[in-house]
Amino acid sequence: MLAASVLTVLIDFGLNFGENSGKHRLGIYEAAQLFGACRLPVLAVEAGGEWTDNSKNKFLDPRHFLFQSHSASNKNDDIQRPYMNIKMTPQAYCPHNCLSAILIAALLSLMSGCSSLLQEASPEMKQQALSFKPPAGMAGLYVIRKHHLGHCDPWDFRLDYQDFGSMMPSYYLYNTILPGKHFLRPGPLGEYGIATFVAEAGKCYYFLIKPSFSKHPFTQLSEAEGQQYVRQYKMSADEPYKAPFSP
Amino acid sequence: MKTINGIQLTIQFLGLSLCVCGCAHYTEGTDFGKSEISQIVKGKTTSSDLMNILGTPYSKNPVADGGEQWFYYCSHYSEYVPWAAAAEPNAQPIISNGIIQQGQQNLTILLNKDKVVVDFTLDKGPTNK
Repeated sequence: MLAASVLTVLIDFGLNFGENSGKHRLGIYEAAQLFGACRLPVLAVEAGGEWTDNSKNKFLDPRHFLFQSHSASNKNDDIQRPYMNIKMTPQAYCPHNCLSAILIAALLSLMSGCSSLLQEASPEMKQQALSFKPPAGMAGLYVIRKHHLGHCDPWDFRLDYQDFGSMMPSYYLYNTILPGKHFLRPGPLGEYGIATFVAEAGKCYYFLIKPSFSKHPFTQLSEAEGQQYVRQYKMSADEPYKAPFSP
Repeated sequence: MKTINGIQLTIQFLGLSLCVCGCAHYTEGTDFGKSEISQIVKGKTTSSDLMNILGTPYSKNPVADGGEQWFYYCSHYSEYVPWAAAAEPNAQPIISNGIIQQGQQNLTILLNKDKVVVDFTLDKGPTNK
């Protein structure tokens, strides 16, 4: 599903981008075919310096490059490729290769979930979080960020008057908090909503956040649901929070 | 039949987006109102009660008789909207990074050595309204 949607994006982008420069369109086809699983029809080819739709019944095979690496001795000469009657100038190789690299990087970034942008917590911190038992006289707070395609930026969270932490999708934040009322807000200034709850000593609280147009993007989870997410997701190391006035 | 073309749809979407952006208000700190304040009773409410009513204070400072002074605040913000600012030419908003501070409420609570509320004051800080 993901590969199919990316492939579609690549092709759409290529068709739009190719309106003024057909040479870039070839780059798109190369990139698309790197990930494609089926044969792609060639919608247009360059013939005599103009793009024409005379490519019926011509296809690119999966993982097949139209243009391989080359050494152009004379940069002013066009390189004529007999294959499918497509020609390309040497100058076009750089932009089309760069474009392919950008698209491939974007695809890999999407597929990896951008997990490498923030560090994961140490094993000791994870062990403490996975025990699901806050220290005596304290409560535990887990803020879980659900995976969402296309969202790869770190989100900041604030608890009461302090920064609680920052995390990527498929990560969670954990810290011990004082019993009593708390205000949990996403965003560097807490501008994207608020969750208010009263914590009891010895208990753990789980809040799930996902992109939303509403001002209440948090969902409080049951213990079982929360623990399931915590076991699946990674723990963010970016947790500056320290419970104030704690004993 | 009347049809809506792409440009009309785009303009309508932009208009709706700007309206939504212009309505963004939010708070920082302890979000308290009349209902929370009414629960604080002098000589009766304890520090544990305060933690459940208001939460963790911004600061705690010791006072002379062994008691403590707890301080809470709630700042109100909104996103800076040029046409909204133009509608109030006399207002002098505090703008930082596209954010306007609309006002701030401060709550100072005095507790004795037995952690019982002796007195409290509620006042408004800097505001542009």
